[in-house]
This record gives sequence, C-alpha cells and structure tokens, in this order.
Amino acid sequence: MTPEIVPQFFRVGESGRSHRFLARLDWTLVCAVLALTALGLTFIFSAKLQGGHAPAFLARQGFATAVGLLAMGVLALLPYSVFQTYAKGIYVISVAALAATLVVGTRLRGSRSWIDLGAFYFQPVEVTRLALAVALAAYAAARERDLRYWTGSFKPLSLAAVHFGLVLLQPDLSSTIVMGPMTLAVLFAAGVPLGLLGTLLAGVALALGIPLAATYFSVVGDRWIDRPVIHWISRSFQETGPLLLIWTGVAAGLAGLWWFLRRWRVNISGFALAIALVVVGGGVAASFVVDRAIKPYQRKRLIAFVDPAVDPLGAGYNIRQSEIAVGSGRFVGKGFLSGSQSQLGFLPEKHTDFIFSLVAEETGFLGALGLLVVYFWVVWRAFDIAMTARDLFGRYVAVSIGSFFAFAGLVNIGMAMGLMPVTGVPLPFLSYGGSGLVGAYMAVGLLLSIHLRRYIL
Amino acid sequence: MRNFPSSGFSAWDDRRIFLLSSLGTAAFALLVLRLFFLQVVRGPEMARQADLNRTQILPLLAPRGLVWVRNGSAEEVVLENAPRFSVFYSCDKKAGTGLEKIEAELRARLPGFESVIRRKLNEARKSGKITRVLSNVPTEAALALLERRVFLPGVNVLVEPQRRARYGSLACHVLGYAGEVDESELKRAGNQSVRSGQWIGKSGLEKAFDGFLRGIDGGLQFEVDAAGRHVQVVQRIASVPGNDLHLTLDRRIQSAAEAGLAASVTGRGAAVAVDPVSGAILAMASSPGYDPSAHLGDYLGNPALPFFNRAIQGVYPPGSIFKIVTAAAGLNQIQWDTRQTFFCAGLFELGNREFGCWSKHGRKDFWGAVAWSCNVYFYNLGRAVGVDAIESLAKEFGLGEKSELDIPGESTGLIPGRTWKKSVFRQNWFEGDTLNLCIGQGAATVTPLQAAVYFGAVANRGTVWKPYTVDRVTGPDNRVLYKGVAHVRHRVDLRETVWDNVHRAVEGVAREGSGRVAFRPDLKIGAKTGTAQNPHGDDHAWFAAFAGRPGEPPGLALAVFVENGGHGSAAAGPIARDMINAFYPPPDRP
Repeated sequence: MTPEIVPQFFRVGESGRSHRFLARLDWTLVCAVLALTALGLTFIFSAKLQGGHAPAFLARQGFATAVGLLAMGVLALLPYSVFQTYAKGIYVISVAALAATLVVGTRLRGSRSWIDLGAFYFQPVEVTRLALAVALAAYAAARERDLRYWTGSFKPLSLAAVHFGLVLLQPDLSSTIVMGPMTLAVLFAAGVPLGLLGTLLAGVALALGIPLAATYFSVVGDRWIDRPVIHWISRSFQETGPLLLIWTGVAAGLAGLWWFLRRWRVNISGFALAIALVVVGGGVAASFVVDRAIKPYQRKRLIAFVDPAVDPLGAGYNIRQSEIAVGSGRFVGKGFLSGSQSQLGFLPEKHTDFIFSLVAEETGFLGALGLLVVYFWVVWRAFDIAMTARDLFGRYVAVSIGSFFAFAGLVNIGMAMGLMPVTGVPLPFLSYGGSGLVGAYMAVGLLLSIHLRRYIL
Repeated sequence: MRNFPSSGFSAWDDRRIFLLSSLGTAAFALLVLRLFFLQVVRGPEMARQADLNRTQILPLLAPRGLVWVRNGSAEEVVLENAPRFSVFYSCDKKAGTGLEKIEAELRARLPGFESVIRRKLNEARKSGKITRVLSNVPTEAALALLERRVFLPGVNVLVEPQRRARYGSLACHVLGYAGEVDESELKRAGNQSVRSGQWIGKSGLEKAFDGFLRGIDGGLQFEVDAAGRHVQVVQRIASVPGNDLHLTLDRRIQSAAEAGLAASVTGRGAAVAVDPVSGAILAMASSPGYDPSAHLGDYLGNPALPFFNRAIQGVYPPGSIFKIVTAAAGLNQIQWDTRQTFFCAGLFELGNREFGCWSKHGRKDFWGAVAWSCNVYFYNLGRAVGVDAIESLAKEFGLGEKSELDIPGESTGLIPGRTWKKSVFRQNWFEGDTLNLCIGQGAATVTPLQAAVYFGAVANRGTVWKPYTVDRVTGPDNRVLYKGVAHVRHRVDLRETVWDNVHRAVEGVAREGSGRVAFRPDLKIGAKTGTAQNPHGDDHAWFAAFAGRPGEPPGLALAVFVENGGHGSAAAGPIARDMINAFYPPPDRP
C-alpha cells in the first residue's frame, strides 16, 4: 500500500465515521451472499454425505468462505479508485498470472488451469477476470469519447483478447464464456456502437459455430449420405483445406454481392464490406483456436443440447437426470438429504455444476424459488450500484460484475433445468470450489466499496 | 475510413445499464417460469420418472401354462414347470471394472455357455438393467455361485419356474419348446407385448399357442442407485401363470409310435394317427426327437435333424399307399371291373420304356393286385383312368396341399398333373408320367400327416378333416378359452359301392396281403403298404392303415413312414401294429 492511501484508509475510523461506514454498507447485499453461501455449504454437505467426504469438503469450502469474507472486507474498505490508479499494473500482473498458470500450472481434468498452493489448488482465472473488468473499466472511464467510435474499441478489445486467448489455451472454455458478457457489458455501458457489438457477436458465433458444426457433422454425417451436396458440405467441415475453401468462397461471395449491388445503385459502404470480411476472416481464424480448446465431451454436450438423439446415454443423460431431479422436487421438495436423484447418484456433479438441481430436488419449488430470488437480488444490487456509482470507473466495474453474476446464474441454473447446454459454468456462491468463492466475494467487495463511496466521501 | 459514433450517447446515460439489468431480470423471470413448469406443471410426471430411476424390476418368469395329453380316457400333464436356478447380472455402470473377473468366473463355472455369457454381460452393461444371463443353471454351479456372491458384485442367483417335459422327448415336435426371446423376435414383434428377457414359444404348440401359454411375468422391485447397485427390495410382484392346453394326443399311441420309430431300421421317420371321426390328431411322432428341457445347442449339427418335424415338414414320395387313390378313381370313374386280371412278369413296357414291378406276381385280379401291391396291374388301371381323374381325386383326399393343422410349418407336398408340368417344365404330360403317378412315384410327394388324413378319409368314407391337436385351452377357473373344432375340408364323393370295394381291398391287404403284420382278427383293419423308390438313397417304407371294432366306424387311421426303411410291411408295419394295439388293447390271451 502506498502512503497516499493509508491515511485515507485510517481516516474513516479516526474521524469517528466508522458508524457511517457500517451504516452505508449495503447490508442487504452482504446478507444475500451470506445466505447463498450458507445454502451452498448446507447442500455441499448433502451432496457429499453418501461418500463420507462431507467433512473434508465442508472444511475446504468453509476455509474458502473465511478467506473470501476477509478479501471482501478488505476490498470494501479500500477506496476502489486505487484500482483505477493502478489499472495498468493490475492488468500486467493478471496477464502474468495467467501466463504463469500455463507454464507452472497443474493439469487437472485436462486443463492446465490450477496453481498448486500446497494445501489446495487455486484457479487464477477466478480472480483475473475481475482484473480484466477493472482494466477495461479504467480504460473506458479514461477514454470515454474514443469508445463511441469503431476505431476506439480496438485497444480495449485487444486487452480482453489477451485474457481470452490465455484462458482458452489452458483450455478452460467455461471461464472464457463468462468473461464474454463481462467484457461486452463494459463496452456496451461505455457507449460502444451497437454495430460493433453485433460484429463481435457474429465473429464469436463463427469461432464457436465452425468447430461445433464440424463435430456435429462428424457424428451424424452419415445421415445425409444420399444427399450429395449436404454430404459434401458435412465432409468439408471436418477437414481444414475444404473448410478454408468454403469460407474463402463465402468471403468472395460477399464481395461479389457488394459489387453487384453497387452496380445496381444500391450503395453499401466499403466499410461495411470490410467489416463483414474481417468478421469472416477473424471468425474462421479464431475457430481454429477454439477448436483446440473445446474438449470432445464439451462438444458432445453442446451438440446434444441441439440434438439430444446424438448421445442419449452420455451427454443427454446428465441433462435428463438433472431435469428429473428438479421436477421431482415438486412444490415442497423431498426433504433435506432425501432426494433420490441426488442421494442415489443419478445426478452428476451435484456439489458443483448441478448444485441447483440438488437444492431444487430437496427443497422443491419453494426453496428453489427462494434461491432464485436471493440470487437475483445480488444481480439487481450490482446493476443498482452501477447506476448510483459516483464515477464512470465504479459504474463500469459494477456493470461488469453484475453481468458476470447474471450470466453465470442464467447459464448454470438454465443448464440444470435443460434451458442451456452443459458448459460447466459453476453457480457463484453455491457451487463447491474455493477459488470461485473467493473470486465471487472479491467481486462483492468491489461492489460494496463502490456503493460505500457513491457520495463524495 | 469513416467512423460511426453511437449518436447522442452520454457516458452517464443510464439507459444502457437499465437495458442490461432488464435483460438480467428477463433471464431470471425465464428461470422462474421454467422452474414452475418443471416442478409444478410437470412435477408429478417427473416424480414418476425419478421413481422409475430409483427402482428396477427384476422380472421373474411367470409359469407357462401346463400341457395335457390323453391317456385313454384320462388326462395327464406332459409339459409342466419346475423350479430351476437362473443367474442374473446387473452392472455397476460407474465401476464398469471387475466385469472381466465376473465373466471369467461365470465362464469357468458354466462351461458350454461362454458365448451366451459374454453376450448377456455386454447387454447388461449397455442397458444398465438387471439381465438374466442364463436360466436352467445346474444346481451345483448355482450353489457355488451363491457361495461366492460376495466376490461377484451384481450377480444374483434366483429360482424361477422353468419348462420341464415330464416324458422328455415325448411329442417334442408337437409341443415344441420355449426360450428367451431373441433380438430378431423382438424386432419382428414390433410394439407388441414382448419384452426383452421374456420367454416365448419358439416352435410347435409352444409357439402357435404362445399367447395362451405365456403368463404375465412378475418380479422383484428393487431400489437401486445410479450405479445399478441394489439398495433394498421395495415390493414383490406376483406373476400370473399361463393357460393350460389340453391336447388330443393319446400318450399310449404316441409312445408306441416313438418307440417303434426309434427302434426302426434307420431310426428316422414319422408316424401320425388321426381320429377318422373328427380329424383330431391322436399321435404325431417324428424321429429322432429332442428333449425340450435339455440344452438344445447339443442337438445342433446332428445330421439326423432332430428339430425337423418329419410328420408335417418332410415331403416324401407316397409310393404304393397312393394306389388306393388310383383304385378308387378307377372304380368310380370308369366302373373298373374288379374281376379283370393282368399278368405281372415284373415288367410293363410302354413304347421303348420299361416300368418295373417289385416282384413277379403272375396273374392278379383287382383284389390280389391291391393286396400284393402289384405295379403292373396299376399301370394298366392308371392308363385306363387317365391322369386327370387320379390327380383330382388325390387332391380331394387332401394330398399335395396343406392340411391346416394348428401347428405352423407344414409343407405342401405335390400332386403332379398336366397344368403343373406345363407351368414348371413347359412340357406336355406323357403317358409315362401317368404310370409313375398311379403308383405314387415320380414327382408326387406327400407329408406323413397328409397320408394319415388321407387314410382317415378312406376309413370314414370320404370326409377329409382339418386335423387338429389342441382340443381346448382352459383358463385359471377351468373356463374354456379356446376349443378345437372338427372342420371338414373336403368331401370325397364316391359311390357307396366304390367305398365298399375300397374297404374290401384294404382289408384284404391286412388280412392276407402285404399288410398282414398289422392284422388282428378282433378288429376291422384296412391297410396299405408302400415302398417308395427314392432317387437320393434307399427306399422309404410306408404303412397306412385304419382300425375299428367290427360294426363301428373306424376309430383310428394312421400313416407310418420310415425314412430309407426299405419295405413298408417290414419296416413300418410293426410300428403301425403297435400303435393299433396301443389304441385297441388286444384281448388277453389265455
């Protein structure tokens, strides 16, 4: 801590304004996250009771809760402007941390996403995504006007791209997915042209869509064996050469269309064509990176979401069991520790990805609705804090965090109820996982700090 | 390059943040709706699904219906059910390992079933359901497996009612056998009520009357975890036994026929006895047979084809037993004079072709020719009658057509004629063909069943019955669910004097001709022997007969066929005699 900050930090207490700190603290937010954590701990106990591992899991998660609370307290007390001041440093450190993970990280379940800290493994991406949010917010706050132009978005996008690339290299698709809305939310709130956002989304769709289409075709390709054109396309998607040929053809087609339309006096600017070509080129290029990052089981899950018949016993099975778990909870639930789907092992990953299904099965509609309401309160508070923040930096950070909570909640709970494909995004505050919990608490700490200082202090 | 600013945007504009939070709100509203839909709207259905998940049913076979046959005026059970051990396996889906060990142990303890064990274990692993690996497991092996149960997770040994044939191979071709449904049968059944693991009839009456015989399987409902491990028994579901079949077969005749065939020259053949008054099958034997409750795989590859029901599936040249058709045609159509004689020197010349007789009979009239089965006489008779009359009368007797027995799988046989030859060989019918036909040779083939039905019609003076083996099916409260009814297929319309002469002729065969072996002074017996030349090997032996008490209509008609047995009277006659004696016990001799 620099000398500049420390006096200000102590001034809160010195000047007898500690009561104001406590009074201005967003207690409803604190209570909501504490309630969610307590619920999470309770149902991690339920999930792990059968194997007899409950005490160990509870101890780890309890420890993470303690660390998280501490981090939350520190971040709430710290004036958040300090992160704006040192945004560049934070960004560099976060990139270094991700790079280091790739080098010295431990590979667990196929991803080099973890750093061995002796007693436990730490997942840096849970914290570095907050650093990315801080860096983007700081940049957007400083270059408020630039961002309203297409060209001005290049730099923040590059900053984000480094993070995305490093996480994809681990490869950790689910963490990358939640970083998307965090980035887009900052840019959106900062006034980036909607066309640019649309362009970005189109590029992402291509980057994700091409490898998935290739997988889909490789699984069900024989279905079109008697339809030569579709069969040829489906085969081409599975090989690099023909694939590039197809997309070169698409690009040429776009250019040709543009040229013909010009001749028929339908004027479309060259800029639009250039953007379209960049989207195609960038999307196809990115698809090769994504192709290496998506693991086979993830592909199958994503495809099974579109076409469950592809893998009814594998990828489709988990979704089906989760839906049955949620649905069979009915109105009041089967009772704590009495869910047959979870206690007899039909529900997969019930302490992490599918913890919502476990809660829904054992507490029913009443309990699950309560969970949704409390969780939504956290999201709502984040956006409200963004709107009442005293400066643009705080505003953008809060928007980014709010989008993170909203998106992670939607994807995870949607997955548990069959609305979303299985991507492995954990539910903040509830899913087992210390790094995630600490990261979530740090995010809440930032929100609290922004909220505390919404008035000139 | 031009640049597009987002117009009129202020960095402090709350609208975009409001839009984001609205998106978030909409997302949560969607989640709440989905939650409501899953838990409240579809909750009951999902709860049922969870229950189905939670429990598995170990299906236990329902006892199949009993099968009864007659024994004189009494009835007795031939197919029943006996408690036997079955080995089940339910796979630990998560563990998956250890399967090799289990497979190795099962294969070691149940030799001879290696491929079945492998297939069933794989099935169990794929489906995750409790699967019957093997039924009818020898007691020692089952007890050994029970002892080792701790080391064989997922393996269960349970007692199930399984088919037992009380008299082993008795009437095995009529009864058929049942077994676990296989994949092709499951596919063919489509969405009918056949489930994998069920037992269904595979052949004979077990198959034809499967719908009656099959009960409703019960089972044990277990609570299982996702790995398929049993947690506890939830309930026991009682099975419903199948319905009983009461057959028209008479065990006395059936046993006599089977014993005779087994002791015959080649041990291969068939015998069918029908009741000329109703068409009920009193015996239907095919030799060699098999024991339906034994391991059927052992019979495969046997060159004598034990699964082949020669009585209805085999077609053979009828030989001289066909001569009754020719005789009846002659008597009826051209008023053949029974006093007319021909000289048999063992040969008959037609153009430059020679047609032989099996002996040199010398001069014979009609009675002598029938009694001694003289070919030369019948060549002359046949030529005089012509092929058309013989062909149509043979068909009226039900030869060369399926006899609509209630057991599936009948062969048709063949009675050749002008149109047949034209359509198959594009040739005209020659006189020589007629000569072959009139002594039951050439292209003519019949099944032993047809021969018996034909002799039944001879016995009852012209009624060709639809033969049947199932008299009735009775339900649990002895209610009759099905009744086998006598049904007339054809009526052979001959003048009464012709019938009198035919009867006189066949009785002559039994009394003083080639069929003397079956003669009994206390009965009215008509018979005809046959020695059918067979281009593939030794001659086939035939013996067709009917018997009845004097003054009563004949109560038994039969046909005995011994494959490659040689002379009809020597090879098939004694079997026919034993069958007649079984039906009409001979009076005690002092």
